[in-house]
Amino acid sequence: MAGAGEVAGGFALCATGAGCLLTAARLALFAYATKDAWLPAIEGLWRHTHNGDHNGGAGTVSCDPGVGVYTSGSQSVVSFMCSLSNATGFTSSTEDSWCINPNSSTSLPYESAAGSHAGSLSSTPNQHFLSCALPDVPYAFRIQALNDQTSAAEYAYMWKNPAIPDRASDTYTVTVTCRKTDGTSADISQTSVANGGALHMPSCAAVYPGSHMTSMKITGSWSGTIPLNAPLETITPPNDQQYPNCGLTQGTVCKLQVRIDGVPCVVGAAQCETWTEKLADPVERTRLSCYWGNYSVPIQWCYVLERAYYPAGAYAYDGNIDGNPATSVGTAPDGTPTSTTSPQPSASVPPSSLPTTGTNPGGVGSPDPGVSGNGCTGLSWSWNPIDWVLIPVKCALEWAFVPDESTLGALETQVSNAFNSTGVGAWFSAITGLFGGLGGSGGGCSGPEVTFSMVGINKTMHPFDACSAPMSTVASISYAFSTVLVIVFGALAGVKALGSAFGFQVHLGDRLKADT
Amino acid sequence: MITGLILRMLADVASALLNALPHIGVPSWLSDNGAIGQVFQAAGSMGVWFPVALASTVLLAVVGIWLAGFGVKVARMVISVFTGGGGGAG
Repeated sequence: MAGAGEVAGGFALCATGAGCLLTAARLALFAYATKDAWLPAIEGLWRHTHNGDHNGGAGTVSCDPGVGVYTSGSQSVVSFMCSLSNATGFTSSTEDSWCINPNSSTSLPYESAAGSHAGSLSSTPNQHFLSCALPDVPYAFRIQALNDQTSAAEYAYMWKNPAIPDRASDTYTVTVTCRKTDGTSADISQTSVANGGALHMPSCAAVYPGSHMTSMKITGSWSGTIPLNAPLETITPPNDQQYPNCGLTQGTVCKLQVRIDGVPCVVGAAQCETWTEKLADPVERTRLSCYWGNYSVPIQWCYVLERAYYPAGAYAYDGNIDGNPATSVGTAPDGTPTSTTSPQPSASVPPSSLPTTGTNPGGVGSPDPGVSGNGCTGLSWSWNPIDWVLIPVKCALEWAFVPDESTLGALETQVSNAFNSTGVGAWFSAITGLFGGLGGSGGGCSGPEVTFSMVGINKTMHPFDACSAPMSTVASISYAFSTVLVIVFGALAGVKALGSAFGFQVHLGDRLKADT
Repeated sequence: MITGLILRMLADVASALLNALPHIGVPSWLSDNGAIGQVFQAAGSMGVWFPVALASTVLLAVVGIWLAGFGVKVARMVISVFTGGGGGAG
């Protein structure tokens, strides 16, 4: 056993309080030990937790790795003596421990549910230990110091058994089989470094839209195939003729990308962070486009990138944490050491457990609530609020308040028939008939005909004949002057009549008098 | 649905009012061949000196505005009843 050493790792977080940068706390410590003992070391690997506000607090945790792993009855135990010095802001500590079965070759070694033990962490060294039921052996052990603000936990030290391959730095290749409802399928692989036990898993929805995962295989330090609840089906060659440049059979993967006004989105771009907000606005929505490689695809394919452009980044397969499944179909890979729901990485969670689209029973292409059986829900639905909020409400309001043309026509006919059948209609027709005879060219230029009868002599005259000069000139002047007068006084009369309806008495003459 | 129902009610009210009016025939002097008709024909022949067509159009428009204003006044009177006279339709 290598000499037991004492490690004094300091983690100065936010001495100044909330508002500090997380970069100051990017020290999750992984300890490596020799074969027979645990020796702490510092590895600059930061690990994020959901509660990692890191509000204030500082201190130094020192641990003596003790005698390493030993067996006691049916237990495998490792113990440490730890103390906390120069601490400010810490009120308690917890221990998290994990056990693992390293001998499993047909399935991923499982990690036990993280046991959290309330421990004391004081200036006086006291013992912390981890025990596992054989054949499991201790794998990871962590001490956390908790501050007095909300439930934020400060990172302390974490030790790992070097006899177990370092999951934190191992490289794994995850291969998933994605299958569509039409029977086409494809294998999609992604090689990455495990991050604290979380494996980067390719997203079928993002890479092969319309498909869901039917099986997953992980190769690396461990190997095996995790079957899903869905029965495995015969794999047929994928149909990538629609997207020949995205060669699924060759393993090349086209990148799914949101574009705003044709400009690809990048992490940290302000309008890209909240691009999903534009979906609700009919005008803003037109600025969005979704591309798979160089192919323009429906915008719904990019819903999985709901949070992909946040400054801290987010994986396409991250689960929904905003409580709104309307804009994302991502699933969360489980299996981090902090998971307490299942010791298995939840690769078995099918993306279709929460349906995001579907068909409406009884839906019709032209909804008409006035007809029995026709609703306002249309033929299909999705988690997009536009489909299940805006459209049905609009349909219902149109049905309630917009009358159809046949009804308007029938009402117009009813009123006009009633009008024409009464004396009012006859008088109206007679009067309009008189005015209909008044036309500019109806009387010609001769004017009215006047017949004088006197002493047996009948003579017909046209006293207002304006067919020749100079009367034609006089008639033109009279016509122009009269036109101006008619328009002006007609407008005044109309304004006065309209104003009197609303209680305004228009007296232009009085106003002029007032001004002078 | 709702708007159609309201329009149907208004149409029924208008039809009832029209049918309730007494039927008075048009007198002969108001016809095209009567005295008034001859006056209008003479006025029409003066179209070279005076814009008869424009004047008749303006006259009808003013009458129409007056009728619309009358309808607005009636509506305001009715509304003022429901508002306890607070609206006013003087």
